[in-house]
Amino acid sequence: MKISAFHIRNYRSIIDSGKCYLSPDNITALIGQNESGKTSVLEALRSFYESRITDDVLRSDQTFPEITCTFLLEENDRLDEMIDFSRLPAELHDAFRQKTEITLNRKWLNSRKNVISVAEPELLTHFEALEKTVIETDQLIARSFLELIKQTENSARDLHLLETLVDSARKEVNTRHNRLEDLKHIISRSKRPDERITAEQELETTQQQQSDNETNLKEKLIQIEHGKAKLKDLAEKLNTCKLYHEISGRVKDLVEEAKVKAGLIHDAEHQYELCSSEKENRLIIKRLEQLRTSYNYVQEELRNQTANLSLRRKITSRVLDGKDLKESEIEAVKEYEQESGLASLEEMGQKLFNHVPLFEFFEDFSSLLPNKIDLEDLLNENTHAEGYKAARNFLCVAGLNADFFREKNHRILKQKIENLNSEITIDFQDYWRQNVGKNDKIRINFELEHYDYTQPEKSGKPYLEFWIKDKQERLYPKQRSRGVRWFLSFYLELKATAKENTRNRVMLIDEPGLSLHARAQEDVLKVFEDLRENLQIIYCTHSPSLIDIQKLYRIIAVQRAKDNDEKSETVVLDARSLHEASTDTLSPIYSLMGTRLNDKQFIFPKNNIIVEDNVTYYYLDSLSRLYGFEDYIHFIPASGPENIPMLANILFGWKIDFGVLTMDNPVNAQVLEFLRNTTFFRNDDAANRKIRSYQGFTGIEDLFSTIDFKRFILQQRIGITVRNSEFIISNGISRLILATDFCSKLQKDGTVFKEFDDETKKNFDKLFRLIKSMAEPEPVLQPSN
Amino acid sequence: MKGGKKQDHNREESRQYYDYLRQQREIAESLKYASYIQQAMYPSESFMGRLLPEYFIFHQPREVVSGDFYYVSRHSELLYLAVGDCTGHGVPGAFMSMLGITFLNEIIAQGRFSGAASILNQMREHVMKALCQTGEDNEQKDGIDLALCILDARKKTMDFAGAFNPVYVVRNQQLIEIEGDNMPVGIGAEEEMPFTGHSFDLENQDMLYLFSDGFADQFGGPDGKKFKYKAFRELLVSGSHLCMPEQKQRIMTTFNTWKGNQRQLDDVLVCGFRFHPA
Repeated sequence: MKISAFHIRNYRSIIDSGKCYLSPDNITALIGQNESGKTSVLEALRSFYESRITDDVLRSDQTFPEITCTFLLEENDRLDEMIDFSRLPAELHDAFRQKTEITLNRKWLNSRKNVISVAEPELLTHFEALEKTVIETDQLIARSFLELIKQTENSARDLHLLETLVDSARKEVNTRHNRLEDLKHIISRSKRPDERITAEQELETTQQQQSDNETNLKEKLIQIEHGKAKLKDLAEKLNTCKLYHEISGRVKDLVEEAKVKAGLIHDAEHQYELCSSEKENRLIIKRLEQLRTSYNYVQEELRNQTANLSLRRKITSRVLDGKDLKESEIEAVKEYEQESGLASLEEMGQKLFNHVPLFEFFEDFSSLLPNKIDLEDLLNENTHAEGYKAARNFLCVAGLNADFFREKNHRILKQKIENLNSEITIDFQDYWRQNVGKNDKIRINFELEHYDYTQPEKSGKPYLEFWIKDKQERLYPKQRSRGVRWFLSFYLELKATAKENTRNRVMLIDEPGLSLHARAQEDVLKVFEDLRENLQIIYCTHSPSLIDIQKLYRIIAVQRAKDNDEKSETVVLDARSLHEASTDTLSPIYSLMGTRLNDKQFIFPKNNIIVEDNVTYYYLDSLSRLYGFEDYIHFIPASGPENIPMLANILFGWKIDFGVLTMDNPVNAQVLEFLRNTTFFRNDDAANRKIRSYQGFTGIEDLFSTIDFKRFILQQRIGITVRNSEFIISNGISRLILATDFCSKLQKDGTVFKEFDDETKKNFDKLFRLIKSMAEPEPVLQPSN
Repeated sequence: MKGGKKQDHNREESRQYYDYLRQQREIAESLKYASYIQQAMYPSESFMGRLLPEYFIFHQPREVVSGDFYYVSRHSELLYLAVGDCTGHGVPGAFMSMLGITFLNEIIAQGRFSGAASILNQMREHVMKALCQTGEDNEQKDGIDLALCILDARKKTMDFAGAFNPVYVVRNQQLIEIEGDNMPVGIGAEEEMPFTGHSFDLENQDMLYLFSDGFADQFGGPDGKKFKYKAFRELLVSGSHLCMPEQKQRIMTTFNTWKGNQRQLDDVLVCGFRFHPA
């Protein structure tokens, strides 16, 4: 993997850097004034990798840092080997198989805790959808809970009312029943016919009423049954919701409890840092242990309850949908098991993080090559030994390990060391071009020595001694200038880093070569170039010598949002938006370029078209004037296609609008592709508009018909059966002389555009329309007569 | 001795005579062979028949080989028809005609042209290069007079360009002449200028005639005068409704009758095609 972009939020003065792309060729330079925030960018990247921040990183607005890095997957990087695809949502498998880059986000939740997660859009959408479902379900449950309470109350009241009605109906039935008995008795016993008749009539009426009453009572009883069933259902739903709320409340409590406990731990740690007595220390450590145990317990409980809540959410949602509780539980458990099998964004982030390049921060300028170091310290990895890191790097570059020093034969060992000294010196001299005095170049030497009796405690023990020699002198590193020592240490660090090639590496360097002469700074750049195949380098600099003018795509500008306000936020502008950077920020580039180009008369702020050579320039310049492009398009000749990128860089650096136009041949095609990838950063829209090749014509002369070529350029009557450009080459004619003669002829004869034949006019008309599409604003095309 | 010398002299004369006859025979055989080669350069009848439903070719070289040539080919749905008349006749003309056919084939096969005029422009470059013509005063001004038509049977259009030679289109007994430019395919007196392309809409049954100047320039008739173009045009128009064999027969008879016992001055080539849209 290879880092290709970063996005920093809430890190010191950086509120939101936006997505910044790194140079595709592995060397990126951060430029900007002092206090602009360059080092913050480097430190943010370091924090991303090391997952730690210091308190001074935090912003006063209580926001916490969030750093996102995008990594390009290289040929051997297989995502399915890095993460378990079976733990990805099935619908995302294809999308992940086709991924060419992966984005990871590290976010601090508080000053100590941070999480790393995958920030791939498909996954984020998936998890956002899940989260949305959770929120919506929670809201539904909350709403339902209140409604259920109301419904339950209403149902209970209705049931009570029904029961009252049933009681009165029952009473009425009983009363009528008694009356019916009485009437029957009267009818059977009465001797008075009129009385019997009256009783019979009343009996009939009462029987009818009794029948109605009984029907009514039955109905009421059925209603009661229904009411009871409904109430039971409501009670079940209510209980389910209630249980969910209880667990939800428990989770909230646990979150709060965890926060409190984390705060207590933080305070205790702070106390520990402050306290001086050992007794106090012990007490605090004991307290810290208790707090951490308690905190871990809360965390464990929180995990369990969160899982429980998730399950209960699914059950409740189903119950509220009207499903049976048992059935809901079975279904919910099944769904929960499926979901819990999926990896979280954090889990995936952690897995992928194990494959990102190693980030190393080269800041320790004090770790310079020592005069000597005990072999024992080196072999035992005693990092506190003076110059340990530089000495270790030295051994690594030399390819030495403990076995080398076990050689018993002193003569053989000496010879081996001598050979190694010579090899390292040759390699180092390849980078360090400075001479000492007039001609002498410095040489690096190390020797294996043993302590003598003057240091009885170490007597007989081996140590390594380092020398930096020239013809005149043999001096210890410390006797040399700081610049030499720095460069040497830096050279060793980079070489060693590149050699330990287990994983890709990103070297973050703050102000490399600060104490070096400009020439030596150029040497630093040379070392970068040499190592960039194996190492990505991101460095801050103010020095023009550490910027390659031909490679401005390597620049990221860092500046304050408001000029001269060091408290304003930091703005990070990658090479695509470098033109937005302030003049002060870009001063190292301008130092390299000399005076402002658009102050000159031959380059204009807009509509500059770079063409491949002087010949093309002569033809296009003279014909564009005839065509009516005078003062609208400004052609700038490069001295050969290979120099187009440099010219493009210069115009780019000066924020001058430009396009590149070439003829259609393989050399030019390579140059244009290079520009697409570098100066235009694969921004296809911009590149397609601004980088153009005139298809079908290998040379500018081919745009002329054979007749016009002979008439206006060759000025000779001869049969030509090949392309004009081929004819020129095969006959060894100077293109430049032909072009200048052509311009002279046009001027002398006062030639106008319409004098050319149709074929020539058609070819140039098409070309000028192409050029017009590269420029703006559009003029009215009016060929001159 | 004296008689012996005379006898030797007669024998020598006789030997020279036989040598002369032998050379004559060899030259005739070579020319005959050259004519076969030239014939092989022309498209075969079956090929022509496939491309052109109705056509005739009246080709009467002055000698065994001819400086006139015709050319028919088809590329990308377009039909290319040309009739050329090279400087000179006999062997020099034949060489030129073979160059002409070769260049046409090469240019059309490469396909890097925008129309008939563009083909003639390129062909002129080839001829100039082949003959090393640079416009110097003392050099040969050999070239080809040529009429070239590109027919698009689907669009019913014709793109024509001519080097001196025109094309005649006869429609409903009316003749339309499309003139060529007054410059040859080869170096001319003036600096090379582009040939002019003419786009022409064709109609079904239009008769197209391409020809060399041999017919019109032939002396003959009762007063031994040139046949001339006016009479030639009338001849073509009056017979344009006839079928192809009849047209050919009529043209051939008219030419030979007009020539009578006069010597044929130049190669004669008249090609006629009836247009049928796709």
